[in-house]
Amino acid sequence: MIQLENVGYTLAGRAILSALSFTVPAGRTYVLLGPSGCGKSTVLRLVMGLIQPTAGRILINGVPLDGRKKNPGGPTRGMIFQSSALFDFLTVYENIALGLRKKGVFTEQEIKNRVQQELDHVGLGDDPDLLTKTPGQLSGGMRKRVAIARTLALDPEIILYDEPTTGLDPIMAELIHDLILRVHRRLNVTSLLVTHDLTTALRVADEIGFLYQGKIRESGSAQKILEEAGPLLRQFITGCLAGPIRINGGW
Amino acid sequence: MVEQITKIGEKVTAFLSALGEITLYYGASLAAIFRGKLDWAQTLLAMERLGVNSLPIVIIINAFAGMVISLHLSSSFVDFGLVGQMGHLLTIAFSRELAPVLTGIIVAGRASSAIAAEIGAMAVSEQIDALKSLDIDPQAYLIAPKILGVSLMLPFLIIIANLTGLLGGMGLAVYFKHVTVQTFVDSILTHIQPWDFLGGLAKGLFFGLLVAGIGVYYGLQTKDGATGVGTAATQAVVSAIIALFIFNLLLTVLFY
Repeated sequence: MIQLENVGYTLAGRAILSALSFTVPAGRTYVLLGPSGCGKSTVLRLVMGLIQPTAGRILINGVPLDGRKKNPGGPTRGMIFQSSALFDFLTVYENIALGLRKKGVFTEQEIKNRVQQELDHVGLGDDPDLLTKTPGQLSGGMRKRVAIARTLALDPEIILYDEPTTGLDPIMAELIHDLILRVHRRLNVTSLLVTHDLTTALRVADEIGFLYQGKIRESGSAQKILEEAGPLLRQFITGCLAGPIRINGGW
Repeated sequence: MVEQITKIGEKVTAFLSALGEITLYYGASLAAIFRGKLDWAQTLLAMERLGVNSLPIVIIINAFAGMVISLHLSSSFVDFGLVGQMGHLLTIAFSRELAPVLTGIIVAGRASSAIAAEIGAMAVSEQIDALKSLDIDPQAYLIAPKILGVSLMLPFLIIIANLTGLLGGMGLAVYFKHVTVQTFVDSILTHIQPWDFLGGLAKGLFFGLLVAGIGVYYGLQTKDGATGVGTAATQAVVSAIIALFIFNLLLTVLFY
């Protein structure tokens, strides 16, 4: 379970998030939907422990995140970055194997088997040449799937997705949606996903929160969000320029 | 006036902050080494890419520098009948100053920019955050190997620089000015002390720390995508070379 309690984050005097509170129950998928620059990725970086909140606290399974510890004895977290963030100086095999190798508990054969298993799970297991390719030789969709395989290899109990379908064509985006749902079903992980893509949110979410100017403005199931959308969310969904969402001067 | 003082104050603060951060990298790197967390594969890779691959340019530049200096010295020394001092003076110049400084500049140009560009590109493409998300310490995996790799390789490169510089200088003196090899070598062996060489190697160790630390600093400060990476690489080289000359003066006063 992920809990954010009145979390604030201020950078260079500008409040990115203010008094943000929401809970992701264990085994559920929560989607933070919102326009670009509204602080969605900041939420993920906070939950991952990459940055520390300037106010409030974050709890993982009821235990507050301690900035000094990466994983405070709680569930392991994995993050899939918007840019995939594959290490471009390593091959696909080494990218997935790196985290396993650093754990120091697996033999090279076990690592090899695990890499193959995770590539099978993301639908890339059939290409024997893939293992020796570098990220620069892969398409955007393949990079995203390798990034998911790299995260899954470490058996995370919480998975954070940062704009998983951004920059992908509709078919590849649907493949990623399907993959996220299959991962959820297979591993029963708790997932927090941020996106500005309504299709992605509706497809994978158990619950959606609409984030605007650092606060959750509306939340609920996909159906509720669509049926009871307020003016902010309605403008976001329809893409109208006129409405309460400020376009000039930033979000 | 107040504005100017404020600007100077900001520059001084930024400099001290950079100095503090670089010192922290050294501390974290040492901690990674002593805790056994250092990634030795990455360290060997850094030694190869940032050190061994600098060998050809180190050899070429130092050999030609040795020849040029020998040419200047021999022209005057032959006239004054001081040919017997050539080896001695050339060795002092190379072992104490030229080999460490020329090699330091070469490595600053190659390694400092390479480190800043690599780490900078990783920073702007979220790869450093990805390392952390995999529970991998960037200090042990990325930073310490580069600092250690460059610091260990620079003294080795300086040994090669000394050899090639002196051989270049001797070759020219022997071929064009008819100084005998025996006279040249005797001049070296009679006057040169071990510290003349060792001091130069010690300088190399400090230069390595400096060059790599500055590269890492600018790499981690990188923002604004590809432009930022280019800027970081340029700033790293310029800062590393300036710092190297200032540090060289301090070390020369201290050592000799």
